Amino acid sequence: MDLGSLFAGLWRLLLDPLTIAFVFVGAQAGIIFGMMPGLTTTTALSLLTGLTFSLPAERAIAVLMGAYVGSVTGGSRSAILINIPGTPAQAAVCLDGYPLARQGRAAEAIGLSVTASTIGSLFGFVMLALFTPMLGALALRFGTWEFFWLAIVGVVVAGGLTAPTDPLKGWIAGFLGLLLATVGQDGIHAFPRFTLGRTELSGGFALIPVLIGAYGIPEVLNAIRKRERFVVQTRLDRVLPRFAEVLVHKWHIFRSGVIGLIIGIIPGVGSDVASWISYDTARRASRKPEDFGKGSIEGLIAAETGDNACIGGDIIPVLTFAVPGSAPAAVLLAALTIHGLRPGPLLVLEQPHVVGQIVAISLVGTLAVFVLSLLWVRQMVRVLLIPRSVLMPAVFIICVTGAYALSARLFDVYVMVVFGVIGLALGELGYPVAPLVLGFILGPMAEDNLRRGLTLTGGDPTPFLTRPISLVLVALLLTSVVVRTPLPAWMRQRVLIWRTQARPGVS
Amino acid sequence: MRDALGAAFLAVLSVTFAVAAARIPFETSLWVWYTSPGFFPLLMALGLALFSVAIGYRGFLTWRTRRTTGESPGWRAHVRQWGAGRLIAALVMIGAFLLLLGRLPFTVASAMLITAMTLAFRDDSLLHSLRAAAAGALVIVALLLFFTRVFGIPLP
Repeated sequence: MDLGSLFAGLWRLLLDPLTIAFVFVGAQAGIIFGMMPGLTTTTALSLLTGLTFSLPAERAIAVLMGAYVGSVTGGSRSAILINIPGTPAQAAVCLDGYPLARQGRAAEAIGLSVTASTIGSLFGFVMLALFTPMLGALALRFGTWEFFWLAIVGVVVAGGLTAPTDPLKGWIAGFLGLLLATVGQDGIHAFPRFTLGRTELSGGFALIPVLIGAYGIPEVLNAIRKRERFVVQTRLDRVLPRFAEVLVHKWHIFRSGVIGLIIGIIPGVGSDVASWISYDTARRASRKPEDFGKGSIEGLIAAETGDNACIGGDIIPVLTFAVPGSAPAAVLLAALTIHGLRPGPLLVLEQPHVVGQIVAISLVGTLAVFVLSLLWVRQMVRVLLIPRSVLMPAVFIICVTGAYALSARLFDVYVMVVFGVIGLALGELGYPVAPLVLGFILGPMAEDNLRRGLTLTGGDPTPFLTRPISLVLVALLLTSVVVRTPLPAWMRQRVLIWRTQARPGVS
Repeated sequence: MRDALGAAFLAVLSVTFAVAAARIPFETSLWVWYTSPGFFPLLMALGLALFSVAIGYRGFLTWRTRRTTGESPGWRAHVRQWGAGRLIAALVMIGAFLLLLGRLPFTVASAMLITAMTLAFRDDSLLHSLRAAAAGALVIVALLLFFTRVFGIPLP
């Protein structure tokens, strides 16, 4: 990115203290949401998108970016103090954070976690600033045929990665999302489809109620049906930043940052995968792998850096291709669209100052989370003591408010509840929700580009399979499916026999 | 069995969508088959149906294997342990709340929901839970008023 856009964005932000204040508000809200087990980053962003609908675009984005960084960072509080991740991204943090707390080093663990998170976020946003213009230039070479395949590849890859033991369920969830996105008037002829004669459905299902429903409501219902009690270690010494200790592990940080960034760019896969892969890679590279799981600082730093670097990676495809890198990024994409911005290659080309503003806000958001995480940690920990029986109904009411806020329709509240029940049922049956949501978001992109591509060629599908970039995407799609598809039993038997014959004595 | 049931539901859903999509004309004066509004949903519904049949078949084989080996999941105990009672109670309360929307002020309905759920799902003494419910209701009402005054958010 030309540094001029970035500095212009930063300068403009510094001259607008009210926007900086909104960054801090978002960051604080995000930290609290992130800390609460069951309240995900996606839920936080979905609610805040609805609640900030009436704000100017820049301030709404300020709140959302602050909340995005805050919730990913805040989840480590509960991971360290009660061994339950605040958001799925902190599951790996539990492995070494909680043992450190049990050793009486909770404050140290939180200090390390906050410092590593800050470095990871900064790394991710610097890469966002550098890579967005490059990928934006590449995205300009994509035609309608390539955007169709991009949408399908995104859904299939997300389905395979979010359900690694049973990718078929992931693909089913993705196809269900693509199908549900067709409800309402179609994008070319405005023909009403599957509306059951109801005018409320002519616009289809609104995205924010679907997101709040799919991610927030199942967590509320699951928290109520389970009788969980947390034992919280509230005794905390002073929490200090630990730059010197963290930077001793600079190679773990760099490696985890790169992993987080790459994972973030892949559609549908989010911070939780980045955190686990970073953790596992650090364990393999460590000189003391036996310490992992018992309070290893390397493990804690790697997991935190990876999941925070992923945020910048998530946003890169949002700005360049209008394809979300993760569920929270999908909410961000929706928010940008709601506020009149058009993410995609043209945004980078024609409005680089918008990209500069987003990067500037993200950097300030990272610093806001850093400051707030260290200042209020002992007070914020008390939030964990609120009984679930009080907290979850309160969260539900905020969900209703968020779903209603966008269009002032009770119908959106009903949609939220229905998708909440669908999300709960899918979760219990082992289907991941992320591909469903991604399919819902990318459905219009897939359909419009398929129909447009066929219109341009008079019904001839050949360009979908012969254009160079399309071929690459098709190859990626087939590879993803073949690699994830387990062999049938009879074929596995044959492979085993062949291996035994080829290498006698080795099974 | 869960796989088979889930797949059956998805198969019914996809067939319903496929039939509805197939009823949309493929050729009219306004469009041809590849720009037909029913083209894409039909493809997606058929794909979903195909995957659902595969999952359903796999689930059926697993269930048959378990039945043959005499494994008895004890579904009633499992449902009880899973928390079905609490979930149903929560859904009933949420349903009542949704019915009250538009009939009562949102802040009043919200306070009632928090109080009802806190008391119904309490892990503490009644007095403690009443205090927690009162505090929670007050906080949420204050938060809702904050949203409307500062952010201009409309309430149901």
